[in-house]
Amino acid sequence: MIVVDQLRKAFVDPEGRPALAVDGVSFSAGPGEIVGLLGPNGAGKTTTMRVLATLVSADSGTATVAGHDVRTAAVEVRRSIGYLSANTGLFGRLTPREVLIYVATLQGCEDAEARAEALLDRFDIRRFAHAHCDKLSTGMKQKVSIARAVVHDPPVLIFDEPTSGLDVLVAQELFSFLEDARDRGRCVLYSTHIMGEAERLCDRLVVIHRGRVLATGTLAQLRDQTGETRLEDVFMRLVRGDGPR
Amino acid sequence: MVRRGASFRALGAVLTAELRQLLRDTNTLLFSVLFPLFLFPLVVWLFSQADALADGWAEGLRPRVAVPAELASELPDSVEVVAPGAPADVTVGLSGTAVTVRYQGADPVSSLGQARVVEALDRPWEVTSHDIAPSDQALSAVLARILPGLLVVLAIMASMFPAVEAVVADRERGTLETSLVTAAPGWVFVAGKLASVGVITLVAMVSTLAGALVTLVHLASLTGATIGLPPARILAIVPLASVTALAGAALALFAAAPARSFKQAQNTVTAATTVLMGAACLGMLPHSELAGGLGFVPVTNAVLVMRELLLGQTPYGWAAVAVAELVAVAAFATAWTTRSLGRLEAR
Repeated sequence: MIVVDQLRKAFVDPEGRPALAVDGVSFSAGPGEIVGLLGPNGAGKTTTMRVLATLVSADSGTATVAGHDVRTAAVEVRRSIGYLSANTGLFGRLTPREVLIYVATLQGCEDAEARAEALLDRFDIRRFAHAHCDKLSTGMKQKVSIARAVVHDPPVLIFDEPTSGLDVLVAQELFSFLEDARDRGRCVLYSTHIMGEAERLCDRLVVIHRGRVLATGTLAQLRDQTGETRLEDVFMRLVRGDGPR
Repeated sequence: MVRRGASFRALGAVLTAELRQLLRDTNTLLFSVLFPLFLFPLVVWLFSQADALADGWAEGLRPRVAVPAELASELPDSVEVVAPGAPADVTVGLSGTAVTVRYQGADPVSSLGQARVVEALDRPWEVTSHDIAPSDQALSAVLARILPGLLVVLAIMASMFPAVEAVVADRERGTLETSLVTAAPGWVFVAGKLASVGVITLVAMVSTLAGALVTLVHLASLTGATIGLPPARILAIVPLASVTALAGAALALFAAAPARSFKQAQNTVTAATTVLMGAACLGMLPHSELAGGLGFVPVTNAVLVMRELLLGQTPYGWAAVAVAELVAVAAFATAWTTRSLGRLEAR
């Protein structure tokens, strides 16, 4: 469902120098699995995900989502993904119901209202469905954001650090939803820097640091590779082995 | 490819969402609906207070009265007698015992002079007064000069906040990203934002017109005077005023699109709208004429064309020039806005 090959992307830093955010990243994610992009802040996770969401163009390399090239078939890619990032916001003076119908219509859903109603129940949003979004708590807003991302029932979910600022109850609901999505054959790409989340949720991990992939595999494979037991120790060993560049 | 029907549904969704977001905001309601609705009554009230002050001030004046020598001694010291033919506020003619007093009803000093002359000339003089500039004609000339400019200025003012909200606030709160990762084509978002800001400016314009009409009808009922501007003439300016308002909305979006922050957008939009409002005010000046250079200045020429329409003229050629310029400006601004939004999102 997601195939990334030798992806590179450079930005210009505040001092005007080129900074390589993603440096030859390659990985894949298939249907019915949750793949975690694990790395510290600034590792290149968000840039990689924004390339996959067609919000940023890569300098080189290729990426396909659900069989569509992100460069040449952006509309098909956008129709195939549910994208959620810490930056995605909600119209403050729209209600959750209005937001869901709006996004479903933009995604071309014929039954936008019915889908919105179903998600109001699925994410327990109905009790505040008539409130303006800027009156909602962080957790409630995130529930609406998640529902917004999946309102068109896409085959691929790209969630970029979705638990930022969430309490444990809402985070658990999110994990439950993602596990359910995996069981229904959806491909989930999930980025985080929180080891516990990755350990609990992800079927495979892509460890990324300073724009490069350091290792990929299941948690068991990474343990074997590094000789460490705890994921935090696995991660530290991989990162230290990368060394300063 | 996205089906055309789906694209238009998406356009409707963007327009609806943007309008809900804008019309549920107190600032938008205040500046786009209530302020234009009450501004004209307020201006008229202020003018009436200024007139009252002017009347009191005029009491102490000595209006100049051009009068034949036979009548000069009849007039009181409260008027200044000048020779016939000299510049004067009131002109008095004499034929036998028939005295004709010519004055300008719209001018408080001239009216004061007329009242003093009439009061002073008793039998055997038979005095008749002629208002050579009836107040309703003067009122219509003033309205024709003020109303188009006021409409355009208020419509442009009303577009400022919605333009910043539609582009920069959308980007800052992350809703632009939310929209851009959907399957809807990019033009839908620019068109939806332009339409929503355009609707707000049109609402402001309609509010201004409503406030003006209610005030004028109220004044006419109080004074028994005629306004001198038939409703048909006022309606005749609506199409051009609408095109001007939409071009203003396109330019406000154009100014907001490249901004990186709300504050920066406020600065760029304020600068752009100040230029536009200056062009509108240029058309309100007493000696501005629909000819030569001014006839080709966008917005200014639209205001001047509307003035001519209100005065019962039909300057079709200049109207065509004004509309063509406004459409060209709006098209350029919209194209640039589309480009700016695309570049900022690095798509």
